[in-house]
Amino acid sequence: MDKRLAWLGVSLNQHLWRYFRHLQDDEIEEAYKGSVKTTMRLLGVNKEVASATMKQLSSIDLEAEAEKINRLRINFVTRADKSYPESLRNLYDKPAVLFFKGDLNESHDVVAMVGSRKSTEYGRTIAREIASSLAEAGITIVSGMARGIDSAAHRGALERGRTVAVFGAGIDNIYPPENRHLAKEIEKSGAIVSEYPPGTPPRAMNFPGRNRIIAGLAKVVLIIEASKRSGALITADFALEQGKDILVVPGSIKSAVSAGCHGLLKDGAGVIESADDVLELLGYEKAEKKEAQEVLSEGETKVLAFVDYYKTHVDTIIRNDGRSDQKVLTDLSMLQAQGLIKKQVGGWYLRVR
Amino acid sequence: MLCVVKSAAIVGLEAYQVEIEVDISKGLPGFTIVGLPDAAVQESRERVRAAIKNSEFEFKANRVTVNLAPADMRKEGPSFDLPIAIGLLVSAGQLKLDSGLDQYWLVGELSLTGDVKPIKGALSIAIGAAERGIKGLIASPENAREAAIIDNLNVVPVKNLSEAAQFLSGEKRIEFQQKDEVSVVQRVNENDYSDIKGQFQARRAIEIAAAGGHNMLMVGPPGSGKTMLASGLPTILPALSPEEAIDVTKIYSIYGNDREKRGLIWKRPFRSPHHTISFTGLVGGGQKLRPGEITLSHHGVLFLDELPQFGPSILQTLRQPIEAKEITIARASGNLTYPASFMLVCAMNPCPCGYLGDAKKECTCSLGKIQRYRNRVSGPLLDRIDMQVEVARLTKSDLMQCKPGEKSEDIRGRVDRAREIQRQRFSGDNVLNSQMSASQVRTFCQISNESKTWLDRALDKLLPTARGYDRLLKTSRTIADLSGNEKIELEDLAEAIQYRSAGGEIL
Repeated sequence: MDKRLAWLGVSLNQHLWRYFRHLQDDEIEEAYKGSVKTTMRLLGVNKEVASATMKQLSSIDLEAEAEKINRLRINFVTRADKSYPESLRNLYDKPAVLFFKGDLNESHDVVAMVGSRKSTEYGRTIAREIASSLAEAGITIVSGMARGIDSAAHRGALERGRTVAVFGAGIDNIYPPENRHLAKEIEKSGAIVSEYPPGTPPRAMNFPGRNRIIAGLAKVVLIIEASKRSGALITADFALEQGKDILVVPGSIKSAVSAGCHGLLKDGAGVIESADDVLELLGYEKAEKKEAQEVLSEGETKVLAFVDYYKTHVDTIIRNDGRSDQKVLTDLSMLQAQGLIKKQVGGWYLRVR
Repeated sequence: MLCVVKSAAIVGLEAYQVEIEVDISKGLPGFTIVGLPDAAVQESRERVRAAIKNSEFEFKANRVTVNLAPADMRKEGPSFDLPIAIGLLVSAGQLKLDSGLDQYWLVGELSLTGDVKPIKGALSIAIGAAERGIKGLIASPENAREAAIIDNLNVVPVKNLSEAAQFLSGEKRIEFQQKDEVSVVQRVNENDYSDIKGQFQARRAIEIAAAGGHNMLMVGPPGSGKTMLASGLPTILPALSPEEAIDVTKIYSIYGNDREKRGLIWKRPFRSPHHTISFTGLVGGGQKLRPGEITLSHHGVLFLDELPQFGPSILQTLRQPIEAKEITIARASGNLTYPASFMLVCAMNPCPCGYLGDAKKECTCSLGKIQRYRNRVSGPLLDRIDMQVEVARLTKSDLMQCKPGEKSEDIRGRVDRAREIQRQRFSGDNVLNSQMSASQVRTFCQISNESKTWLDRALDKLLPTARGYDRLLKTSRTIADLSGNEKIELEDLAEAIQYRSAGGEIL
């Protein structure tokens, strides 16, 4: 009996997994081969449940299932494998099997970055910037590839380095679908990972489980933007349980999507103002500042002063500036071209640097 | 005895001559009209009979045959009443002609009392008559005023059948209709731009669009003033030239919905069809062959509010007329072409709920929903829209703070100047910047190397989904014309970029 296949078997079926999740690595074989009595003892169930479970277990063709997964070009690693991520090994309720594409090696430090799906441009810009700087320092960014902050963090990390995405669905079921291309990019250098067998649809109940893996893989968890009831706070809870550091990006006190972050700050989470804060915590050398100073015209400087980091409407800028609309619009394009400001739906501009 | 009277009918916007042959012979009393008449022409028998009787002539019980030649064209409407009645009177010997009847075209509907009533399309008929060297047109006073616009044509206004008969017999002299004094262009100050507060970027965009004739899309939440901004456009567009005014009047004369308005139409049309409009309503055609909204907005503005609601297939039909500036309707009986040179102005919400990117109200749409909504407006149509601009709802404090905007008149002055520059550039061919061909873009929209490098370097930051480099250049050309720059400067290009990709990236 191959232990790997044994673990695979029990993880394919959520019903079975409920009974087997507490078993130790050396007990799994016994549970497969043993008598009803052994199973009763190991699982702590009565005779009827034990025999029903065993019947179900024996109906699974393990070799065929493994073959099926192989054909999808999906790898899997089980608790019985040496290559099972060390960071997850000490996790209470660790996944039996991780399905993945890409490379799961653990030679890098891992930082998790999570946040709201409903995010602001401010949050996404920050997520992207920090992820990019951390990736450049050789840190792997792990996140959940949801819309909003998660996607921004992955994208930022890909600009300079490596990232890992943990799914709440089977990894052949990319959700949200517009991230299909992003997923392809992620597997090239990092990995996409899920504890759910291929074919599992994205179900709301699976997402908290995914968050425990995200928190588990990381040394530090960064929360970029989170509303009061954001899933990112679940990740923060798991991180607390696992004794990980939590760092939070503060936002405007009027922004609903920062309310959850501010709650964490009140409870004693750390503040990040730049990627350096994270690097320092992890004992890295501070990254060299190499910001090129833009040369701005008088008009551009004036316009830039009216654009804030949240968002400012184009008509407000024109009114405040007082010059002709034509001049202001030209300067806005110039600033945009230099990457200092960004245009957003509804005629809004915001400063990004 | 046989008598031939000349009249006219309309196909599309053009008039053609119809010869009405009236023959009275002995036999069983009867009244037959042949030559593909429709129901309204058939009913003309009853009107003519009564009108003759009530005009103190006699309708004798004889065998009457009326032929409308050419006999293979379908004849519609009541406009042959007057010529048929005159033909009958001449054939019956009740009317002795003074001069030759073949020098005139006669058109008009008769009432039972013998009064002559106006018909549709008098202007086209007058143009047709003048082109064929016909000396005069006899029509109702209302039609006569419209027809008098045309030079080289004597227009005789007749109130009723007996007046027409007296004129033709030489018993009564009738003054030819004089041209209305229309040299002063009246501009009613409805929708003046001084009524619109704030909306700086949108106002500027409208000015540029008007100057270069650019098609335009406004994106903004409900209540942001998109309709108001669009409906002010005719007040800043240049006045119609006399030729254009005739074109427009011709169309409305045939469309015939506002017969009250006689004389030339000097106001640029502004048409705003509802999104439930049918194909024929939009492009024209139908059983009675009428011009559609795109033709009614010829030389003017076609405003499509709630663009995605129009439905993809209706919008598809717009593509060809936007390019060709006319619409050809193919029928079993032949093709018909209506002019359709209009400025397209569209408005839409940024998302189905309307509040994406709004300052106050939160958008409740899912990403998929927004994408589906936007996909209803096809790429090929968007490719024909040079300028996109976002319009935001004004907040209360904006309304309190803002001074009233600039007057339409002042804006029109700048638009006129920019149009003059364009007229000189394209040496008189009525081409606007928006209508430049690819080769004209290459000739007239050259940008300096400095601008080119700047654009290359910055394009992915400015327009992540860049499409239509040419359209960017055309808009830049108009901006340069407005500021009097002979060459497109970097600043013109930079401003033009602000009028692309409204709605922006959703995420």
